[in-house]
Amino acid sequence: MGSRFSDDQDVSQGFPSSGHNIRYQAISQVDIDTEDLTFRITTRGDIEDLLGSIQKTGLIQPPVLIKNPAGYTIVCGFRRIAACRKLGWTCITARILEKTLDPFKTAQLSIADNALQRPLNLVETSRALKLLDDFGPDNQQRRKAAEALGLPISESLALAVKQICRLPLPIQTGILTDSIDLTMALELGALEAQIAEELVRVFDQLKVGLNKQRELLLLLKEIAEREDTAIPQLIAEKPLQEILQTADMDRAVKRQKVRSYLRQRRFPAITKAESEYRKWVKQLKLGNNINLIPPKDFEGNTFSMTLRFNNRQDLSDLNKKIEEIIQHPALGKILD
Amino acid sequence: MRISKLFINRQVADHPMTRSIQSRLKLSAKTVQNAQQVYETVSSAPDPVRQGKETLYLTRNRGAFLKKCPGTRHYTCCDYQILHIGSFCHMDCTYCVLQTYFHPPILQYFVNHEDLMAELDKVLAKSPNKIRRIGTGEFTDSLIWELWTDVSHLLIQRFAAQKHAVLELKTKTTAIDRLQNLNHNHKTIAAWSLNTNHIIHTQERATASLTARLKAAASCETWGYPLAFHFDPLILYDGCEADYTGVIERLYSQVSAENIVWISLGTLRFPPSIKTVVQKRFPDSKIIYEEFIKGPDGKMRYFKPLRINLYRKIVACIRDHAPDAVVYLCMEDDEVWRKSLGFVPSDVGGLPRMLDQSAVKHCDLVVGG
Repeated sequence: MGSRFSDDQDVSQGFPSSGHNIRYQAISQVDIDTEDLTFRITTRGDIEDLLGSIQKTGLIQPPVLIKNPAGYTIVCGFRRIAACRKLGWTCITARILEKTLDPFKTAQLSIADNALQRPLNLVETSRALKLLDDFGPDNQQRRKAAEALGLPISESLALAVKQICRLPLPIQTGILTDSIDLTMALELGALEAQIAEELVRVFDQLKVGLNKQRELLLLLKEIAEREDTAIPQLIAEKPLQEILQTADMDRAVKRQKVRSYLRQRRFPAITKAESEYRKWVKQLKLGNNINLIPPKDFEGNTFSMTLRFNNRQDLSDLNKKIEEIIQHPALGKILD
Repeated sequence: MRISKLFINRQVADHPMTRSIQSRLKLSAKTVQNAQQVYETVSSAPDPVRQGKETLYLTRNRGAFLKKCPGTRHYTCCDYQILHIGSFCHMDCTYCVLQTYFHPPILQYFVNHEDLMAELDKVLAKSPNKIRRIGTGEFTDSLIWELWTDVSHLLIQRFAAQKHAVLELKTKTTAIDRLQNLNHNHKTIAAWSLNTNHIIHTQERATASLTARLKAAASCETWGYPLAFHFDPLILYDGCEADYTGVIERLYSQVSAENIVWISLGTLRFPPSIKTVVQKRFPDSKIIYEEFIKGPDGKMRYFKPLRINLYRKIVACIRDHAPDAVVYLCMEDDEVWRKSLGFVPSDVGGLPRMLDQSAVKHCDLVVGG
């Protein structure tokens, strides 16, 4: 099987205007080093969408390769090459860059091939920035290239984004599936890889929002610190596993139970006081129209009560109820 | 920690106190126009807090030397006055709020003693009916300056010459040698911050041991100084109650109950910013992982029942040894007072009055006249 290539396509799209020569050449698949991911920007691994199109119309945009001592390194077209391989093409037409081409320009070419066609996701942006870092001669030129390629140029943002592609893969996947954000990813990245992976798994399983992720992470971290244990050990504890592994439990209920369990582990005295407070308030039988609010964290001494009524009779009824509450022994327990 | 850098403000370069300190420190100094240069040096260090502890800046205090203790309206304050002789400390306690109180924190000493004494003279001369309790140990440790300055000597003599105010020198050191032959006239209270051996070893880096602190207190007692003790911060950990009662037993085995002017108790509290500092500077410390809530004053403090429980046990132990001991709580509300001590400050005319009375009794103060 040979390669098919449509000559009337604009094959120079995305190339830096450096005046360097590009030649088209038929290259055997065995000479292409698919393990070398130096220039890989895309996070997409699937090729199904390409299989049909390539089979039907051929390689409209031939991949870009650069010669290495043993064969060829892929600069652009990782998915196209994989698709051709899957289709059984032993040889493809590729655009070959001169060996002498400045690696920084090669990097820009690789980024442009992706960034000028579609918005890059965070992991791809991170890979692109890292490429510029790896090959850019100085900050000024790196920044100029980033700007031209539509990459973030704010120093703090770029610094944060750059770290992403160095994070363990499950964290990167979490970002791509929107189950964790950049801040959480970096926080997880500061942990040992095994711990981070475990947490991503739990977050994904529970489908928790970002605020709750932060809360759960903080609880786990602080329990682990206090008890000199590791987060995976905490997650592996029986009560938590029983919640996580209950198949027929609603996810929202599961989330609530996990949070309650961890809060109880982290703040045993506070959660006990909250539970006792709820018990005494229940005994007061406040009904739907009275709400008794304790001082925040039981630290102050001022309670507040809200009453809901529509008319004089409602208020009179509430007045009677308040009289009952005042006499109720449970109020003494609450106020004491 | 050892002082490794000395900065001198140009305006005090020729001040006799500056020369005296420099000659005792035996360090070459860098003269600076203002504090900014010192801040820059400290801030650029990998651990600015540590650098601040090794960097001494001699300067002039342009503001007031006497300040009100920064209490808040939410909790009962003792109406103490701070004599601001300098700031920060070369000892290194995990929980020290001074780590974030000054930006950046540097060991700073005010050499203009003439202004200090003038202000003190003025304050001590007015309102003679008012009892004043004044201390130097809030923004710094009172006695860390003993090696290089004569400030304690100067202050002890000044307070000895009047009868309406007491000076409290609060410390975690044993730098008492130069207090021995001074005529203090009972107007200076030698005070120690006490903690358990476990806390001293794990959270109070470079401070004197409990044994040494108690021995120093006993020495001061033999020299006639009234004493005070501050269990602040009380820190929760497994076995802390037994350890604290053990400290109290040791305390009363070394000094006489009747010479103790007051004992304060205060559980660990800190501004939230301290948590990050502790995590960074003391990664092995567990003290920030107990059950804290944010109080109405914005500081983190132990959940109230936990505080009350610890206070009760410590108060009971103190009462066993000294039923008449003047024990007070630092920055707590009436509920905690009632549940821990069995009364609230207003029952005895307020906390300031309670402490004033004890000062009058132990330090031979005169009300009025």
